[in-house]
Amino acid sequence: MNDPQVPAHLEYVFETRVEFRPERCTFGPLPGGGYKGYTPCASGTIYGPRLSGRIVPDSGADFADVRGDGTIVIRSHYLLEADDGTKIYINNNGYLVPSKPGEGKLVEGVHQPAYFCFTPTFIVPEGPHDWLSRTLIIGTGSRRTNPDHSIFTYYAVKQELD
Amino acid sequence: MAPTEPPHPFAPRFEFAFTVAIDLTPPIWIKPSSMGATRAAIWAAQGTFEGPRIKGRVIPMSGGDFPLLRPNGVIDFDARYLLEADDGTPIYLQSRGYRWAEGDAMDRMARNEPVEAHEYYMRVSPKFDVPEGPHDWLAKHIFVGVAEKVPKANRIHYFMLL
Repeated sequence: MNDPQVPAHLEYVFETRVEFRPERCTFGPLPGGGYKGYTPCASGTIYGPRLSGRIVPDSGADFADVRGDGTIVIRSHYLLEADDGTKIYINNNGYLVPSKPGEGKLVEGVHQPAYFCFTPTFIVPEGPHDWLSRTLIIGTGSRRTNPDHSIFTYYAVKQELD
Repeated sequence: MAPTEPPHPFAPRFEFAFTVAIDLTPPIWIKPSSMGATRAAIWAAQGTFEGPRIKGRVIPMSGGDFPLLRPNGVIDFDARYLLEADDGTPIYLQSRGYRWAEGDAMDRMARNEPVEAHEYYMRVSPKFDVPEGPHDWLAKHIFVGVAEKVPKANRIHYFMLL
């Protein structure tokens, strides 16, 4: 606890690559300030040690709130489909803090946001994937272009502290 | 992940934020609820919180936890209450997460008997609503809480995802 940089007690569980539709937009200003964002998920893939499959095409979107301070509050929901056919509802909630234009770490030629983290909840049938509904999971996002998509990396918060 | 594997290149890091120590009232049980599980209501009687950047108190009886107890024994938290920083700033805390255990540790916790930290999984993710100002970092970062169950109380250690 004396070291503020504690090791993350995290286990990498899976990653998704989600492509977005060109209908993505923000609109407003809304009563009380801020804007609403709409980013529809067109399709995508899921890969990693604990889950693989696909994003069910056109199954949902991020309906983000763009706050007055510029922070984007992520509120996305859509469907995953595991390789065994199991449907899994995912709801991501978190924050994307944009970097200043032309700034931000460059990854594959794209300036990344200053902060892009979230925590998902899942609705999943009992069975091999139900650990998703009793494990705290956090995610990080990374923006990509050509085509417009993001990489979302998910980590389980482990029980054992190493 | 086996210790020999290198960490994921984008693995996020945590920074210790603060610990909330909270005394709880006895629960009220609602069963079965219309959600098909047992709902409990437990109020935050009093408490304090302290960390490197912020400290203060839990506003007594400002809220509590209203968890669902699933038929398989997993507790699905839904906590809402108010903190007050030392400078008088009120902070709304809303937290979700899970508690479960293998074996009889769940029963011992239900009877308010002591349990060892390794015997159960209790991890939460809070979000905060806070006025703009010195504490607004709370409303643009993801946090993970590692919770200690102590009889009639909780100690939750919050880490900020960097």
